[in-house]
Amino acid sequence: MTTNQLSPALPEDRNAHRPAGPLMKIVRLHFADPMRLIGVPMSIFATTTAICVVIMLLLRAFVPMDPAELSEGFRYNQAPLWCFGGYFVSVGAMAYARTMPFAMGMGATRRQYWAGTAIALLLESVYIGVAMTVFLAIEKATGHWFTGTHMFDVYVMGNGSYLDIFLMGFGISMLTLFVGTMFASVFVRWNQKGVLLVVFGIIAVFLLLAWMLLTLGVDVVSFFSTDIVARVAVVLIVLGMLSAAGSWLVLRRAPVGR
Amino acid sequence: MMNLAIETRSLTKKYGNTTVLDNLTLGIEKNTICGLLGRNGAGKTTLMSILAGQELKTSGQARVLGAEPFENAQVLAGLSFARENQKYPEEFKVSHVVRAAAWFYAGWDADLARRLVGEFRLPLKTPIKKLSRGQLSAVAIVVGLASRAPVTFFDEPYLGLDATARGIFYDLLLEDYMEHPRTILMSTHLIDEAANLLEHVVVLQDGRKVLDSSVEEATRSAFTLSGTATAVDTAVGGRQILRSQALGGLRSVTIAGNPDERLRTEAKAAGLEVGPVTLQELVAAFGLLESGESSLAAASSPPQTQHEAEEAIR
Repeated sequence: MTTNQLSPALPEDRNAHRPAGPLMKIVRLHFADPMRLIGVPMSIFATTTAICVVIMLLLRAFVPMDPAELSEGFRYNQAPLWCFGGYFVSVGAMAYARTMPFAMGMGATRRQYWAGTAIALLLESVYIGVAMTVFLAIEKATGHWFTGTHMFDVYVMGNGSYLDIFLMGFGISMLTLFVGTMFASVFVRWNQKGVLLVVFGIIAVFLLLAWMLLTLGVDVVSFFSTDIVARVAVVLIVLGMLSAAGSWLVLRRAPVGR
Repeated sequence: MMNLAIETRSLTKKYGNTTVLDNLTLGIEKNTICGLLGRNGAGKTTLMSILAGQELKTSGQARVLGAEPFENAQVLAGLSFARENQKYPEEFKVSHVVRAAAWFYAGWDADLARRLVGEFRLPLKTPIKKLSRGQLSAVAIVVGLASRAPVTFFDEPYLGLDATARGIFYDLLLEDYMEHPRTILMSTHLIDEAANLLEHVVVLQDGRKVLDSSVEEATRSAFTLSGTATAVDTAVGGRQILRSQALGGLRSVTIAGNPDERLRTEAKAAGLEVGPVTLQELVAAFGLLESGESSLAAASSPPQTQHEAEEAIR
């Protein structure tokens, strides 16, 4: 094979000679493969929705219950809460385990990489929040996927509230992505021992926090008694921010690329 | 010195109790191709990692393009470093790597990248994790060369490449370097193959520098003498032997310094051959001195420091 035979296959990019800005190059790097952050989450939502519809059809065929009751029961569906979290933790982890050494080999600093990655993951969280909101709108418009199947119009995502589902989608994404980055940065710097210590440390902090709240008589239940979904989402966002800050503290002097 | 692209002073790197780089002081001039040689574990990759801002030093100074590279955006923007075991983003294809690299370099040459991809027959749509060892090396070469980074590190860039592909790499490296001079630091074990490219050579041994000179100066600093073992031993006299190899009754020795007229006359009379030393032979001599593989050399002290090494080859 000669040069000429292969050359046309390489994408012609008129901007290729112009380098991106110090943060934009990192943001673009994360979205260079559109499947990973755009395509896969959509396919997860589509597949999970399809599975829920199939389950609904099976229930309607074999369970002697009123379809309206079945449909109401589906409001307790927690699939949207869990379906993409694991994938996003791995995406966050890979951002530091594999993409960072590549970026630094091409002259990025840790600071640039962390900030660019934070922007990319926040954009991704917005994307998921918007996508779930759009899915909710479609679900409502189609009479819950023509079968009464509740996938996004569920209690845990705000029971049909567009604001709540956006906040939950954004919050879950942000938390899982940044938790992934935090554990990966700990691994990069201190290997498995560090990860174990951080896990135990986080458990200890949560136990201490719970003990303090109980001792001080803080009424946590009443805090969540109104606008529970939105408030949980805010807690997820705050935890995501703490994870992002933690990953920077760990990363700023971590060896990269070994 | 302003003309140095890379400079270290008493650079030391320790992992726990293990010293990987030991008080290393060296300077590499701008716009040269420098070979970084040494056995496995000598500290070559660690040195490049520190210079590329990826690894933290323990003590000493490391300067690239006049400044400390660690978290220095201005310096790092002019650097390219692909490790021998370089990691790439999960699920990336070759096309993603080539497209993304363009965003990082002001001097990126898309035409050269296309040409290199063709020369190395890289399959653009194949995920990086499915590439062979040689193809992975080719990807690193494409990024390293097309980046036109003012300081480019190649860490054993030939791994897995066949002889033809290695030849292509050396040719293209030289061709592009002639058109766009820059500082290239390349670690390699294939010294003979790369010798014609190299202008300067740094040899590391157990984290210490044992040689730091121009290739011309280095190869002029020693010579070989070969023939029957008895005649060779007689002709050597008290000269410093860097390396000795024997096969049956024949012996070939690498001797520090230059052959004087008396030696040439004696050698001619005894039917011995006096020849130039190659870079490979010279580096091997240092390696063998350290491991004690040379029987004759074992009698003399192995050069442990830059000063001793330079003394030895004078």
